[in-house]
Amino acid sequence: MMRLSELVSALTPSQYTELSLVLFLAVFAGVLVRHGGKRRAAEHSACAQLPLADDDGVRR
Amino acid sequence: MSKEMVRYDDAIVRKFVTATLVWGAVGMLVGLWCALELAVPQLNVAPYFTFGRLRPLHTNAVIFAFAGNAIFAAVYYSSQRLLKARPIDRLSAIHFWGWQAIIVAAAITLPLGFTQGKEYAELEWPIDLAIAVIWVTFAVNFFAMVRNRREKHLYVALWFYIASIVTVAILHIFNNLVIPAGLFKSYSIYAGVEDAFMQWWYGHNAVAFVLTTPFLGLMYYFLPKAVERPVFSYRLSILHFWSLVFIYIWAGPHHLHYTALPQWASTLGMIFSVMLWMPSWGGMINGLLTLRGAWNRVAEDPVLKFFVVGLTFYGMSTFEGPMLSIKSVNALSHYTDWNIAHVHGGALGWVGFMTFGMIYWLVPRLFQAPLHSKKLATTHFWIATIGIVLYVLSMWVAGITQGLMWRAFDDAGHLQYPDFLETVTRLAPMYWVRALGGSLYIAGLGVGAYNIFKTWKARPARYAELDVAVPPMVRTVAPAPAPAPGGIERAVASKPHWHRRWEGLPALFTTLTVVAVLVASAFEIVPTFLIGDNVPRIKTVKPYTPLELYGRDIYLREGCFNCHSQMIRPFIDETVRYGQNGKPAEYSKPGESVYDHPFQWGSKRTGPDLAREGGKRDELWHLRHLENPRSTSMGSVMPGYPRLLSDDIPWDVIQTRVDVMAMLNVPYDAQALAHADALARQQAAQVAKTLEAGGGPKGMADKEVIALIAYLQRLGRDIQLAQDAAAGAQ
Repeated sequence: MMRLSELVSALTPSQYTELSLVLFLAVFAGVLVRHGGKRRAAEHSACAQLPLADDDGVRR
Repeated sequence: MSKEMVRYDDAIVRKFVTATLVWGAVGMLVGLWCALELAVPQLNVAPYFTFGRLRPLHTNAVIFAFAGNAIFAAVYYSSQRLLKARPIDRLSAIHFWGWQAIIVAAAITLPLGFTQGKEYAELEWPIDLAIAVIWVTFAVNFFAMVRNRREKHLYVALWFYIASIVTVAILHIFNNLVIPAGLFKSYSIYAGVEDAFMQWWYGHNAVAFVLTTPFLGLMYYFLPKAVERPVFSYRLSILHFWSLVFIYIWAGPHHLHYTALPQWASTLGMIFSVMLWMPSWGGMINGLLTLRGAWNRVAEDPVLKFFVVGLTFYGMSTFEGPMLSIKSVNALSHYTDWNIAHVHGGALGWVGFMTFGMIYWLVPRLFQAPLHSKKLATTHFWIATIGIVLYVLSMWVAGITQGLMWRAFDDAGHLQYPDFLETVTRLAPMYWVRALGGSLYIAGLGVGAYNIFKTWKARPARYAELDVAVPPMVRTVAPAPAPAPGGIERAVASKPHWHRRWEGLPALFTTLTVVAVLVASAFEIVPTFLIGDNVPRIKTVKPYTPLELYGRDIYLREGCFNCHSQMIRPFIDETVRYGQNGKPAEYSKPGESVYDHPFQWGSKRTGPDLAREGGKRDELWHLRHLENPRSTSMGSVMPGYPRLLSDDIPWDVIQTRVDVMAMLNVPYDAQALAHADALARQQAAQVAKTLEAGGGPKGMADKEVIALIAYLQRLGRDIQLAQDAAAGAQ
């Protein structure tokens, strides 16, 4: 049976480096695609207001 | 729709703000004392207040006590309001008092010399366990608020808090895996390259998830509050969050450039560190642009002054960090005071100023009285700013001077400054400027503390509690409620898109954050641990003898690693400087430290590297040097350790320590496993005899100094044997 270290050694360290960069690029592109356009502008604008109206209340 | 009332708990915030100021003063004063010890070594008061023992107290106090309490104050204040939920009072109390007890335990045990010997992770295992328990208490309390929230959307500040809470837990647990060898003594389960990797995975991400992400959460909440405008771009904050969380975790290996860490891991760390510049500046720009249209207020509002300069320092530090991670720059900067400048730009400028900005904004609200003096707050700001500038500039100059002097060769091809001490004494003026800068920063804190104390004195007899009408829990709400006049209800998106669904399910959101962190960690850790070629074995490298092992424990106890590295980088100036008998030294190999639990590669050279120290000088020189460094090395700033010449070796602990090492797969033979103390006594007698023969004092065979000398004389000997064997074969 193949040992875990042999399995991990199937890729060279440089390939891990390259794979990690591809992974990051995918995550970055994913977030950018979902949030980069103007479609969410109104929603983002509403979210940004959250801290500004959070202390309304009555002091007793 | 029915409404419920929530009463926010501001008492817990008041407690954490007070603790922030108290521990900030303590941690910074200890730091000032350490700075002065480097300028006036006689200020080292052995055994408890030497630089090696106080420096970890300074770093732990400012990171976990000052910054830690500031984070908790920010989290408890902002989360209650963003989530419309109150934390569980009992858990808040356990969290507060438990954390303060941990800080007190650290303040007692570190000067006593109880240490794991890893930077920023010095605290011994019982305290580590307590940290885990209190951190989990904090997490439960926080997630209870999330669960009971009345606001569906998790504002971006909360994402940063969540990322910090889960990642710190992961880092703390994995880096502190040890096997105890007593109540306050343990050995890391990792050794050498693996330990170095884990340590800087932890160390760098302590910077990320203790000193950066929680303060970004703080920034995203308190800056809009202070400037009374929403954050410049919420979209940018989303991109900022995911990029930062994904990238930061990879960057740790940049602390180990040109060491025995495999090059691929080091390169990976460098690449991601440079990439880190982008999200970091995205966050800074987002913060600064939040002030658009309100810049005129910066001139008159000390809160905004602190925030603007804090953000500017964030920008500078996050430019400098990636720059220092580039290998060719790092070759010059590493082990020098440049790192100290970098760290303090971030700590005093970013963390300190964001904390003070938050506190000045909070204090009138928490103490329900106007700030005593805006003028004093402005004075605090200017004194502290001048202090930071002096601190950072002096350490930049010291660091670059140091790095250039180490590398300098004369026209004949010899080291221009072969005596390491020359590169130390040259820095003395800069150490005084640093101490002045630190003093000014602390003076500013004193002014601030006085101002806040006077504000507190003007508090009402009884604090008014804030009751807020809230809609029922979001878990039970179907569509968006209608806004109530003057109330806090707002429309909740009836059709949240995918990201908002995640936020509505904090368990999934948290899981994705953890996955981002774990994937990055796994990509570096798994190959480092499992690809055998990373650490080629060297046959001549053997375990330390029982006496040397105890000597190494003294080295750890006294915090020698704070000033001495054990890592010869593959540079001509280092191999020449640390060579013997006119021959250059071998640069350090991964296989040399396979039995080093923990590794001792170090991160700063206030004193010379010791990786090739063995055999360089005789036993008597070491004894005199340890007793009073200036008796052998004029101008040295090292503390004296005269007690090592009078304190007896506790022979009874040695067997346990060897046994624990054996549990960690260090191949001790049967004799060591059965009679470690006898072997240690035997070797001690030999070292003492050599000492006497060289003209040294008699009767030293059972003194601690003998064990430490034995350890120092062992350093680098095994690789020498390998070289000799190779030369013989030829």
